[in-house]
Amino acid sequence: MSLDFLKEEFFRLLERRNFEPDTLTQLRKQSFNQFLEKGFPTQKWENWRFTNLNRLKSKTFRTAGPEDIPDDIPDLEKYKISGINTIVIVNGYFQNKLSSFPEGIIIEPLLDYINSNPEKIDNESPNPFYNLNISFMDSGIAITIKKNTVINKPLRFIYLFTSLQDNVMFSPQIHIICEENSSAQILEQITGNIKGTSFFNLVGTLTLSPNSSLDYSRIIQDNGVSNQFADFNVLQEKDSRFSFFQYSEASKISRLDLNCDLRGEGSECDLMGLSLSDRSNHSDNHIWINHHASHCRSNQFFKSILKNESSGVFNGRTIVHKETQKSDAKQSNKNLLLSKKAVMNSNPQLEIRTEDVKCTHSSTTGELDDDALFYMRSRGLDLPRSQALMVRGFALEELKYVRNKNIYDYLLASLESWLK
Amino acid sequence: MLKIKNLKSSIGEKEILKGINLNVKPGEIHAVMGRNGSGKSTLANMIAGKETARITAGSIVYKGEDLNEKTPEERAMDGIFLSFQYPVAIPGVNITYFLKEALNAKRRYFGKNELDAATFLKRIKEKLELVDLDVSFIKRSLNEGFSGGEKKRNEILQMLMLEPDLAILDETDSGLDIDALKTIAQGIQKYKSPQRSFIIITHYPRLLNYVKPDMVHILIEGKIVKSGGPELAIMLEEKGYTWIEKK
Ligand SMILES: Nc1ncnc2c1ncn2[C@@H]1O[C@H](COP(=O)(O)OP(=O)(O)O)[C@@H](O)[C@H]1O
Ligand SMILES: [Mg+2]
Repeated sequence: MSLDFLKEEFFRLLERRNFEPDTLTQLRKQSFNQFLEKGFPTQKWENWRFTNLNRLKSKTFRTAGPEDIPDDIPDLEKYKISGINTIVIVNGYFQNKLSSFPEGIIIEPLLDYINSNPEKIDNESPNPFYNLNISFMDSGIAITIKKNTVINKPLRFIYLFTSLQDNVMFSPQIHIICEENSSAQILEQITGNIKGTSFFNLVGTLTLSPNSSLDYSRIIQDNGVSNQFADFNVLQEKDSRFSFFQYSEASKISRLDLNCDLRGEGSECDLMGLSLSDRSNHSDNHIWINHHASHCRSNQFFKSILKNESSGVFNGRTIVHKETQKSDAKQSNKNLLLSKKAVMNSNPQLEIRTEDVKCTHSSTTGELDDDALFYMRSRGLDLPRSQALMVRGFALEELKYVRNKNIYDYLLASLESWLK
Repeated sequence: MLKIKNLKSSIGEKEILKGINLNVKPGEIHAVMGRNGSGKSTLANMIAGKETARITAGSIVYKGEDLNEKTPEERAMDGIFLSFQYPVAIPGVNITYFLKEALNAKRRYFGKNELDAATFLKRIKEKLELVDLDVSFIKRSLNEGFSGGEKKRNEILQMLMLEPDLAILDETDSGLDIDALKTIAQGIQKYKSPQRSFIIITHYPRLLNYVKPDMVHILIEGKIVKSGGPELAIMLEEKGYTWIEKK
């Protein structure tokens, strides 16, 4: 995607959005300049060494416009998960009639939220995709979970794509503010019948106030044709608990930057993911955790399964800062290669700048174990079935951390159909 | 049931089995004894179809058919079962799911319809009782975090569920306390029938006090150096392997 083309798109966007307040326009312009200064990452950049973006850069993506609102209502039955509330966003446009809302949560369109809290948008990021998102941000929601509120039903927002034939760029933002003593489960799902190559570039800002708890999951199922970028920044205050789970089925390129800052004492995070890759798709997970305070616990546990000529990256880094005490940090990455041509780059790193810490890290990448296969075959399962069972088992060891039964069942069914 | 003729095999360049002859008839229990490294597991694995060791001479004939070209799963369908000396952990595959798959694969092979969940559960509960395991056990992943005893009980549980004609038990008695040993022996006793045969591999004669073999074979460095009745096991217990080696 040439920068000239992006510039044109950017000015078109500003024109189309000339109703926006000046603060926002300025914010977009600043961000766009920051993006232009950096440009798209290349493999010379330390954090992008194993991810080749040529496939993305060689295409042009227009921004979504009102003409992309579908005429007919998409069939949501396929994505049904019982016992949850769902907010539906079709081709970037919020669908009030298809959505159901929980109580105790304030949901605002992103732009309203930014207009009343312009300081909430942080312009600084080393990631050019972040700057690009702020420049072009279109759809987006801000969710506030009020103080002392416990939301039992998970809330999902589903980004549904239908009948887009050409290449479209989406730049949504998600802001979640968990006020003190609140608790919620939020599920983000990106899916649909995607035909053109879309470029989905999401930014998430999650703030956990003291003693709040947030369980955030992502499901990405895009037929393997889109490019999925997401940059999440999580700020955790005292005694907050955050858990993250990403289930992702092969996108052309998918990249997750997840930065979790344990700012307050006693905060905890569990960051998990299962990446399923096939064809020549590429999935890249960069997971950064900073222990800034004492008595914090962090856990990274990511798995991938790679078929055909797909490739993957896991780059996890946990930094335990000086003057923190009683830290507990775990990192684990396990990858299963189902083809000789699949490639995985795994790099879990612990950076410990203090003494008082308990930590472990591990990484394994390999094929199916022959002894285990023989064991199963000796019981009468044929080779393909034995392989399928083992791969399924490998994935279930990750999936079992999805605590909501209905979401788990939905993911199990997805997994089984992916494995076929 | 099983006829092994002059079987020789190698792993890499190393010859492991150096001409094994063994003839197991329906209803018979054969014990194969020998020290560590003598080739017992290699023999067991080869009957079950593992390809680590390559046949260089001889044949394994089961129910009148040469096993050479048969996959492990085909052998299992035809009624061969191996209780592993070291059962491997298979994370994420729970016993119930696995056994249901295995059982139904076998039923399909014989043109029977699949077992419904209730019948399966009833059947597995009976067998669990025989090997003294709790129902909660079958929710666990195969061999993951199992104690030595649990691993061996789980092997016998699978044998009881899959109903093989030829069961090869590779050191199923090793590392068990006396109660667990009795439980395992009981499982074998219950399963014994005039149509079913066993090859019991062990290097202690202990188990043979509970399950009386028809024949005992002594394997030393890839060769059966002596075969005889149950009294051979007793002699071995008294005099040790050196007694045979000296001869
Ligand atoms: N995978 C293997 N690779 C190389 N050598 C092996 C392998 N498995 C077994 N062996 C060798 O074969 C011989 C017989 O081993 P095994 O059949 O396990 O004996 P036993 O069961 O009687 O203790 C030993 O010398 C052992 O080191
Ligand atoms: Mg052995």
